[in-house]
Amino acid sequence: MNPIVDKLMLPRDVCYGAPLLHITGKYEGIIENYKSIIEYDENSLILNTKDGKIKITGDSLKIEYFNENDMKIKGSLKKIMLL
Amino acid sequence: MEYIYRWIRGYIIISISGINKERFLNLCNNHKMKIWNICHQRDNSITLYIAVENIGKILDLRHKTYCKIKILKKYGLHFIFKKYKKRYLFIPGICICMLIVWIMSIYVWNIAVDGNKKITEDRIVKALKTENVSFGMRCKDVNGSKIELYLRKKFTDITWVSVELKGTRLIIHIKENNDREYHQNNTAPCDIVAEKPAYIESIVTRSGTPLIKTGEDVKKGDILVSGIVNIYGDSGELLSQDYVSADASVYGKVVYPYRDEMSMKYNEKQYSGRKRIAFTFKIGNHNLNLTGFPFGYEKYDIIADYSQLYLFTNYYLPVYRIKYNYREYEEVEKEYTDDEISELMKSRLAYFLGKLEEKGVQNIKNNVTIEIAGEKCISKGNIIAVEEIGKRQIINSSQQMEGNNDNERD
Repeated sequence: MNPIVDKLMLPRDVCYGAPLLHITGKYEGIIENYKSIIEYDENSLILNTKDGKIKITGDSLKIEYFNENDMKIKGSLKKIMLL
Repeated sequence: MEYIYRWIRGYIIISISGINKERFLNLCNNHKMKIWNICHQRDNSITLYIAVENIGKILDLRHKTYCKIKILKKYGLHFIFKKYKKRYLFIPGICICMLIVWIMSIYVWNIAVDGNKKITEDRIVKALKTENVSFGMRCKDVNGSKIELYLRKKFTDITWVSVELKGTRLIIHIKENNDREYHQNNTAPCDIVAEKPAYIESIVTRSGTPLIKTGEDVKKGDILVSGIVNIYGDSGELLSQDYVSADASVYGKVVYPYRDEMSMKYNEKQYSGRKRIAFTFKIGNHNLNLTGFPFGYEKYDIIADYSQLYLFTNYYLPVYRIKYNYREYEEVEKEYTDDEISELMKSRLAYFLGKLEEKGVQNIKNNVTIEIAGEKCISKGNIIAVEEIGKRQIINSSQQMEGNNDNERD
């Protein structure tokens, strides 16, 4: 942890590359600052991030798009677990 | 917008199967390939959309990840061009077609008349032809105001004309005058004269000097209401003569002699049931017969149905499709019964009376009798009708001059 970042209250996602999740309702989500996909099937998606793994479970999960910065997922979201 | 951009560039749908599917996706991401719509399938494969320029790269990744890749569908302009690459004449064909359509659109291929009741479309089209406004003329040569002026002059019953050019269609909107008394120069001095011999039933004069009374017989051409109004002084001498446009409603009894004759024998068409349809295309003045003539029919009816081909509502082409219906028949000589022929004669008389009524004739009475004489049936008699018999007749300038000279002499 960098104390300057804490003192200046700078956003952690910018300074440390911490993952950022935006969930829009039950059916849509955008994940930023992920590193790679570990596992993907229609009921779960496990992503690797700097702070550990994120597991998203649901039904009919579909990756709308993904690039080096962010990815958009669609489907019926049920759980988000930080592993 | 992005969808259009992707479609122009081209994209494919691929299916990936194998144990390292996720690694394949990560490698795609590392190589900055554009992929979207990643979907896991029931058969444990993944389908995804990928831009066409990355096809070469994914083949390398396939070896690294030991995945099986199957191309499911190809979309975009890139593939359309590839598909029609060998069809050299396809694009020139489209260009020629567009050129023909453009050339066709320069000319007028259909003249439609809208709003006419009394004046037939055929009369208007024929009248326009004398003014060089016809089928096949160039659209830019259509002079709307000139056509409007011409039609108003040619047909005095037309009160309003508007010419509209829509696509290759020239539409002439007209409004007819329904007032019988309407005349363009109705302010000019005129008399009202008898149109036909009649017995005067009633006269209502609005302007002018009435010269007849109710109950008088008049001959054709007799002046009923004069447009000359004499102005007398206090001592009864004629001071001057005023010329007005006579206006009156003069109703008279008119006798129409009626005679109709029919033979008792007639030929009835008995259709054999054999019929044939033939199609012909008419391009300009040339007929293009496609099915040939129905030989073998001795006597037949032909019903021709013309329909002009068009691309859109107002884009007519100079091509007509003609559908001929040939129906074979045999002529059988028959004779009417007395009842049949009298019914037929009555219906013919009713038709004649109906036509008279359409002309504005009222209170029709008739003493028509039907007689059967030998092989003929004759219906004859008189039809007595009350109708307006006045007709305007302009007082010509020489008459007016004479009248003025007389006044001066007086």
